[in-house]
Amino acid sequence: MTPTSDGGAFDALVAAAAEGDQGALVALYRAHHPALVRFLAGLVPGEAEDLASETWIDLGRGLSRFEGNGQDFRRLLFTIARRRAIDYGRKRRRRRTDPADLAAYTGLAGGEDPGEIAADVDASRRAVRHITALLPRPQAEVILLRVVAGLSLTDVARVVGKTPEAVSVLQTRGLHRLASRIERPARWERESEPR
Amino acid sequence: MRPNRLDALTADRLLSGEVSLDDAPPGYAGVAQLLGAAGRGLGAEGSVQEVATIAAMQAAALGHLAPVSARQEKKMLSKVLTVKAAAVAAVLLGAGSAAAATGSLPAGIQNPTSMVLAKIGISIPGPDNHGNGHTGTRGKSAGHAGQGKGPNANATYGLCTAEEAHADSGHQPNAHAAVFPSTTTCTSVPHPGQGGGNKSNTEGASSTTTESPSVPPSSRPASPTSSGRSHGRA
Repeated sequence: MTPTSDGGAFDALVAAAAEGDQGALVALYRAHHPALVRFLAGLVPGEAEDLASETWIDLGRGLSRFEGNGQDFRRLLFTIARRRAIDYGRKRRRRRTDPADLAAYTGLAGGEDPGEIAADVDASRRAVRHITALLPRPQAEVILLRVVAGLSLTDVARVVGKTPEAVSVLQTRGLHRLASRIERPARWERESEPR
Repeated sequence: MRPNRLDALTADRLLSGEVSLDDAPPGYAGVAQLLGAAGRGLGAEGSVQEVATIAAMQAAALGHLAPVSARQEKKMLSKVLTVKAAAVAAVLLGAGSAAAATGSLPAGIQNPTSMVLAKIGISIPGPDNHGNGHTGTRGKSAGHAGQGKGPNANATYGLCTAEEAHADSGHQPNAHAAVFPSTTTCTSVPHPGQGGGNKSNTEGASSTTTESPSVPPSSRPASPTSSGRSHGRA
């Protein structure tokens, strides 16, 4: 049983976490953190872990006021994460001395930092990066929220503040764009092999 | 070959992981593979920051890490209230001081205030001499009337010239006796701009106009000051 699969158990888990129960907090964290980091890595490469930590702390502040089931909790978590990523992007744009984001120049995964490629052998992370490199931000955001965060179309619409119809259009376009750009389907997989 | 655009339902199924690689629409096999990989292995990742993050989250959940905005809001609120209270106190103090200095406070307050301030060498009017000096200046009957200036002088002059004009036009002078001063009074009223008139006459006229008991109430202006002001400004 995952923390989000049983409504009653999940409510009890959230209630315990709101009171600072460490076991409950660890359970919630471990159930959601990998997807959270994966999602943030797609939006803000290199800052995902830090932003995920900030997201968890923000969530902790509002945990006592949370009402809802596991899916509501997940939606809240990714809403906070997305806002954190947006805030980070704004701050980075304001800072003149901020180093240039290499990912912005690499485009496809083939142009990534060699050191990072050598260290990162996770095909899953590479797949996320590939998606974000190939798609415009709104489309990548929607597809990652669907695939990585596991949210429904309706939940994604609430997270990004759009109508379900608009999100449906975004995801359809995103998929079409991905299909058009992926000439060799297994290329990203070959690149992820250890060197 | 460019892949066709998917319908919404198929796209939704593809994103939900309900479409296997073999069942993927034409041109979307690579996409299905990519999406499957992106959502795979999410439970296997560890986090180097897990301990620190959970500790901070625990503190936040317990309120040990109060929201910065809430703390700042509380601090700002107390500052604003302090400033407001100080401003109100300053205004009240200033108004009270001014009232005390002019002797305008009620007798019950003016008297102790006067006594206390007198002990520290500050002299303000007491309740008994409240208004001393004001009666003489109010209405310009004492100090300024002799110079033929002030609102009453203007009023009196205006009324008299109006009456003269009224009489010149052939009307009966007594028809408006209740409004206009008596003719004998007007003969001695100088122009208010003529400061150097006959002082004794001016004084007499002024006193006659405003306070003379010889003028019957019916023939005096009901309220020389108020009516005179309106005429004098006209």
